Amino acid sequence: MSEPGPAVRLAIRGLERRFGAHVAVDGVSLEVRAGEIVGFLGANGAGKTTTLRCAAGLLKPHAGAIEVDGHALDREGRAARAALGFVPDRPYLYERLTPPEFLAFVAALYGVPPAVAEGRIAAMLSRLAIGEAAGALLETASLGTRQKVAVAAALLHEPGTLLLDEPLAGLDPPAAFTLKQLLRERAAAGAGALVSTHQLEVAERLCDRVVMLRRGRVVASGTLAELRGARGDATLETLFLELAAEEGA
Amino acid sequence: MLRGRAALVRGRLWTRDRGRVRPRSGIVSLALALLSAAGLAWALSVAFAALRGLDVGEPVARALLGWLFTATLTGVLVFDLHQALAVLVAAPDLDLLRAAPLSRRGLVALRLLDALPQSLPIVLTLALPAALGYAVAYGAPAGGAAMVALALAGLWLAPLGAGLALALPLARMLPPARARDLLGMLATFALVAAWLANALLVPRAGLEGLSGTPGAGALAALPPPPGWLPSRWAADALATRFAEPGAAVFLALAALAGAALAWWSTDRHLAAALDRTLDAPRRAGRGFGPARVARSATAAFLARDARLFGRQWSVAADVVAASLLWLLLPLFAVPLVPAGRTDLARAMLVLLAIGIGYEVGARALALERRGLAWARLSPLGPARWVRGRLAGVAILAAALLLPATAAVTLGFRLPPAVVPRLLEWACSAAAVSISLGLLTGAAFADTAWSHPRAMLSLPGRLAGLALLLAQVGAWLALPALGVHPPPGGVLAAGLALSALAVAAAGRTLAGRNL
Repeated sequence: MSEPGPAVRLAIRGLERRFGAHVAVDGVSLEVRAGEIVGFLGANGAGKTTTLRCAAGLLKPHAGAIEVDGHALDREGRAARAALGFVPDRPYLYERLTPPEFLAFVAALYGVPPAVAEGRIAAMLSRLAIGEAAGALLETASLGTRQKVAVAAALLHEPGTLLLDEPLAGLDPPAAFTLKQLLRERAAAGAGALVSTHQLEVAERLCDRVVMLRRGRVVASGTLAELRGARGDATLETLFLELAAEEGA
Repeated sequence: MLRGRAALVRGRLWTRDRGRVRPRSGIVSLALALLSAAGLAWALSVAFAALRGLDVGEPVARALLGWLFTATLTGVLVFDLHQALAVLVAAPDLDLLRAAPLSRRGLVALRLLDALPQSLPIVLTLALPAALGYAVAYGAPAGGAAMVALALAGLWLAPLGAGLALALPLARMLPPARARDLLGMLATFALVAAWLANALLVPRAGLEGLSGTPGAGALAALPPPPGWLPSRWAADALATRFAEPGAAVFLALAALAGAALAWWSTDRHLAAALDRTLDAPRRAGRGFGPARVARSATAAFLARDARLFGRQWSVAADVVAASLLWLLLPLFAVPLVPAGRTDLARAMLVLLAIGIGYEVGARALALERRGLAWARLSPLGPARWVRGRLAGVAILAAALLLPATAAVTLGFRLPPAVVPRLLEWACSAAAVSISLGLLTGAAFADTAWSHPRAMLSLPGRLAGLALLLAQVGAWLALPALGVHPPPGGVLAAGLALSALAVAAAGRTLAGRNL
C-alpha cells in the first residue's frame, strides 16, 4: 500500500471473459506502471467495465492472468486486493449507513489503523465536500455524493493500484477537479491508475497513456504523441473515432 | 405502449440470443404456477366428485367452494396487494414513465395495467382450479368460460380495489424512503396470517382426518361464508349456474366497484405518492453516534450489522414475528402428536433455531445489497466475509434463543437440570441452520431484492424451503428414533456440520459473479 512499490502496478495478460456465447473481452493485455495514469477508452460495450471488474476480482475471467502490485489475483488474492482500490460505475454502498459510517467500515476491512483512518476519513469528507451530506443515510444521497463516497472508499487505504470506471460521472466541477487532483497526487506518490472514461478531453489532459478497446480487443495503446504518429495535428477524439468507435457511432 | 409492456413480460419469460430462444427464470415460476394450478384443479375435482357421491347434498359442496373463494379473497388482500402496491409506487421505471409525454390519466392507466396482474396469481392458482374442479363434478354453468371469468373478476377486483383505496393514502402519507418498509410490513402481516391459518386449521383438519370422520357428519356442519362476501356470491352464482340473477348481479357490481375504486384511489393518490417517492428528504442516521473505525474486521462487521438491522425495521420486525411463530409452532401440533413437556420445549427451541437459520441466516448476505461486492473487493475475502456474517447472525440468534429458553423453562416449569441439554440442542440446531442459511444466501442472494420475503432468487427460496423441511424432519426424528447422543455429542456434531457449511458458503461466494 505504501510507496515505493513495484515498477508495474497492474499487469493484465490475455484476459478473456464471455457471457454465454458473447465474448466481452477477447485477449486483452495491458500494463499500468507506477506513477502512471492510463486512460481506458472504448465505445459502449467495448469491454472496459468487464475488464475492470475482472481486474478487481468481481468477475472470474475465462482465461488470462491479472497481477496487482506483483501479486497474482487468483493465487495471492488477499495481497492483490489489499493493493487495489476500485471505483465502480455504480457504487457499492450500504444504503442505510451514513458516509462516515460506511468509510469507517471500509477502512476496517483494509486494516487501516483507527487513528490513521479517522484522519483520512475527515480529510476525504472535507476535500470532496461531503460534509453537508455526512449526517444523512446514503440511500437519500445524491448521485454525486454517492460517487464521492465511492471515490473516498477506494482511496482510504492508499492503494498502489487504482481502477476507476467512469469516476467523473455525476460529479460537479469542483468535485471532478478534486478527484483529478487526488489521482495526480496518488500517481506522484507512485501509484498507478487505470481510468475508464468517455470524456476524451479528460483523458487527454489527465492521462499519461491511453489504451483503446474495440469489441473486447485492444486496438491502440500508447501516449497521445505515439498514437498521433505522423498526424501531428490529430486530437484524441479523431483518433478515437478512427480506431475505437463503432460504425454509426 | 401496450406492445412495450408485452415485450417486457416476454423478456421475463425468455430471451433471444443470436437467434436462439433461451428461457429465463420467469418461465420457471410460470411452469410451477401452472403445474400447481393443474394439480389443485384435479384434486378438487376428485374431492367435489367424492362429495357428490356422499349423502351431504350440493349445498355443502357450494359452501366448500365458497370457502375456497374466500381464501382467494383473503389471499389477494394479504399476499398480493403489496405486490401491486410495490409496482404502483416503487417500480424502477417510474422516473422514465413520469418523464414520458403521458397524460395523468394515461399514467394511472399504465400503472394499473402493470400493477393489477401482479395480484392475479392467487386467483389463477386457487380460485380458478376450485371453479374448474366444481364444474367438472357438478357441470359447467351456461356460458361456461365467460361466467367463470365473471366470478373470478369479482373475487379479484373487489378486494384489490378496497385494498388499494386503503393502502395508497398510507403510501402518500409515509416518508418515501419508508415505502419499501411499508411493503415489508404488509409481507410480515401476510406471513403471520398464513402461519396462523396453517397452524390453526391444518392440525384440526388432520385430526378430523385421523379420527376417521371426514364424511357426512363433519362436512354437513360446514356453514357457507357470510352472505355479504363476494366469495359467497361467486360460489352461489356458479352453483346455480347463474340461474339466480341476484348473486350474479352482486358479483358484477362488486367487480365494477372494485375496478372503479382501484381507478379512483390510484388517480387521486398516485401522483402525490410518486412526488414523495422522487423527492426524498434526507434522513439522518440516528442513535449510533459518530462513526468510529473499529479495531478489527469482526468488530466492524458487528457495528455495521447492528446499524443495518436496526435501520431496516421492516426486516427486523419480520424476523422477530417469524421467530415467535417458529417458537410457537410445536404447540399447535400437540393435538396431533402428544409430547412430554421437555420434549415439547426442545421441539420449540429447535424449531426456533431452524427458523432463525431460514429467516435470518439465508437473508443475511442479501441484506447487504450491493455492499456484498466488498466480500470480493476487500482483502478479507469471501470466506472471512461469511464468518463475519456468521458472528452477527449468531449474536442475534443468541438474543432470540436465550429469552426463548428462559420463557419455555419457566412456562413449562421444567427442572433447571434439563436447561443445559435444551440449550445444547438449540445451539446445535442454530449452528447448522444458520450455516446452511448462509450457504443458501451465498449461492442465491438477490442483492436487488425489493421484497423482504424474496431476498433469494426463486430457486434459492425453493432450496431454502427444502433445507428447512429436511432439518425439521431430521431434528424431530432423532429423539423419535430413539437416538440419544451423550452430553456434548449433539453440539459437537452440529458445530462440525456448521463448519463444513460455512466453508462451502465461502467457496460459493468466491465463485459468484458480483
